Amino acid sequence: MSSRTGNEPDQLELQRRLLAALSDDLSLPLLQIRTTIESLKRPGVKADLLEARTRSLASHVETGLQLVEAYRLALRASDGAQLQLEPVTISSVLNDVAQELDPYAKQYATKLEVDVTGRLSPVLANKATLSAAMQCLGASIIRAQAAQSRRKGYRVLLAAHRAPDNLITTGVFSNTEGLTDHALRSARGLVGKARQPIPALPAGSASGVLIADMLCAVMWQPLRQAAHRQLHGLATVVPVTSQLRFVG
Amino acid sequence: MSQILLIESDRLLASNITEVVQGSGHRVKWQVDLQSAIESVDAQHPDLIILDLMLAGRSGAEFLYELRSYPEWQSLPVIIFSDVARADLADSSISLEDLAISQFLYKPTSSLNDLLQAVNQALSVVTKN
Repeated sequence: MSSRTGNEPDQLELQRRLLAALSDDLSLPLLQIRTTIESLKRPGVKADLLEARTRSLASHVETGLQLVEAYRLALRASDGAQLQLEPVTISSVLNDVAQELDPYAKQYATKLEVDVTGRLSPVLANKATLSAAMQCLGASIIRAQAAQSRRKGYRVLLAAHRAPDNLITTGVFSNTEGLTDHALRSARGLVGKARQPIPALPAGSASGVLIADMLCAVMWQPLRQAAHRQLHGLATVVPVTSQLRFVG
Repeated sequence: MSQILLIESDRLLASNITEVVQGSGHRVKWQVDLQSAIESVDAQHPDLIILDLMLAGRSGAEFLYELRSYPEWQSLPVIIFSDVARADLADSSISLEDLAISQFLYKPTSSLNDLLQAVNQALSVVTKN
């Protein structure tokens, strides 16, 4: 989907699809904000609930703003804008994203962890794009997992590891079902056309996955099915040419 | 006090809906997946169902077809509260005409107060009958 060919009709179609996906994606945080405000209008709302809900409102606003930023980056990428690449430490990006997503994860009873296996060399990346991709993907998977079955608690890993072929894999892992290569392939053709491009995911979650997919594709490789510590998920692969090796 | 089954995919929306509907004196049981929802109908015999259409894995319409296939649940009031517009369904193969929907509320243009009014109205029809 990263149209760098300058083919104008394709770009227009891509931008139309991005806009349609954004409208689907943004409606959830806006509905959460509106219904929270409505629920607080009831008489006799206690101060501690009011405080908790104010925190929750701030988190919905933050999620909405992050989504808009991710879409803005995707639009820029679809225009063929060259990304400024710099040496980035994946673990540091994942830790920052986890910190920002943590209040959101807590609202979905989700424990968010970062797991980076071994020492990974820095990679050539655009930090803002990588952060936005992981944020979008993480938020979508947090929502999706909680929508698939009702449990007391959930676990989501923001993780990275080096595969035997020396490639670095980084992504988001959980017990969410239905995130397969096949589902992703068909969803890429449906983004902006279908309200539920990945049938296993609820409304408002699939678009976030597909935006993350687009951002990863612009930088390295599109998302693909992957596993980490017996959890399954979606990850991007950092090619060897984008891995920096510092000789001491 | 009426028993209401809420089938909603988003935990935070479900929590807000539950608070408002329970605040009006009803008891709400929330389910996120359709299998648990069907089991819940079986076990708890709700007086009314609030149903989201876009759920993970299966659609709310599918649930509705299954629900109405059982004679004992054919007249159970169902309110659709979804961010799929009714007009969008017209383009799909889903027909709600024969599924005895009490009300169809489109989330972006319906408040929780609209939902509560729809709940009370549907329950009053059941009581009269």
